[in-house]
Amino acid sequence: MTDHAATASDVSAPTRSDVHVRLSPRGRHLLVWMAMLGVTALEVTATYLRPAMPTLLAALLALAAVQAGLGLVYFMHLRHERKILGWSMVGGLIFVLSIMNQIWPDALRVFRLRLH
Amino acid sequence: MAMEMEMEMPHGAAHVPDLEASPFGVESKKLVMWLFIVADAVTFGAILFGYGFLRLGSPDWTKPFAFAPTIINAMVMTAVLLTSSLTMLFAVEAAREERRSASVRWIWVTIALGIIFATLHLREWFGMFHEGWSPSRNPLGGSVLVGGSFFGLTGLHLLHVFGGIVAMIVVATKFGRGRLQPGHVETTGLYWHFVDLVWMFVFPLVYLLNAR
Repeated sequence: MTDHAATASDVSAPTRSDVHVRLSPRGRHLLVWMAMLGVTALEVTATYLRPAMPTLLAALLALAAVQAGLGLVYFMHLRHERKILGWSMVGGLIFVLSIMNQIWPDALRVFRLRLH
Repeated sequence: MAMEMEMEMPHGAAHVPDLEASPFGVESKKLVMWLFIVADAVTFGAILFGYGFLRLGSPDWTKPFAFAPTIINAMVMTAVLLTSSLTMLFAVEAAREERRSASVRWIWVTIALGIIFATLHLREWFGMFHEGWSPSRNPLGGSVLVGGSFFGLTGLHLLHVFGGIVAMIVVATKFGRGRLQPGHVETTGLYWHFVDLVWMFVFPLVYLLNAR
């Protein structure tokens, strides 16, 4: 490679720092907003692909969890708060919902209960 | 020891209360809002769990929602609510940068979007009432729990939307007059984002799972 070619490539080729452009907060929020709209479109598409109910339920819950995660981290600024806040609030919430998930199936007994 | 320290304190020095810093590093109003959000999320979680078990446990459950107009309407509502979260973010950003008039303008845009969401929702409700639906009536002949769970869940969410609109009107008015701080806008924004996040579960679980 000639010196001339090397110089030209140095000028035109983007450097690593050029590629990793830092997004402004507004740009990042717009990106997250578009991603959340995209996830909504995915949910509707998944529904009309008509999978089995358990598969659809799992897919919709997973996609809703992605949206909730994006909202918590970027819209509610959890990424800028101390980690202990996120762990205390979201961790506590997940724990309570997990306990509910364990307890709620007991409610299905009501369909088999009969007065004697 | 305390006496020694007190004696070493120069006369006339202002007494600074020895307050311990918050381990969470946030203002108390923001922490209280987070606690409220977690408590409210548990409420919605319990109702959604209850709805889920009713939905899967009722053999005569009917699917009332056609793609047009209901699912399309719900998609538009979702887009409106997501956009309102974005405009609320812009309001919070402007408030932090002490651009009060810009912040107030964005809050009013958010309020307008909230009102559009509520209007679309109420229009859908009244359409369903017209078709014979009610919290205790199913015109399709299946389980009456369909109407009960639908109106219960979406009604609770709509109540939160109305609450948010009222709160934002108060904050926009007072913040514009300089009576509130940027932290108040941020705390109100947290609540509004939470209302948005709850809808992210209501839309797929209540609408899409019941799409014909």
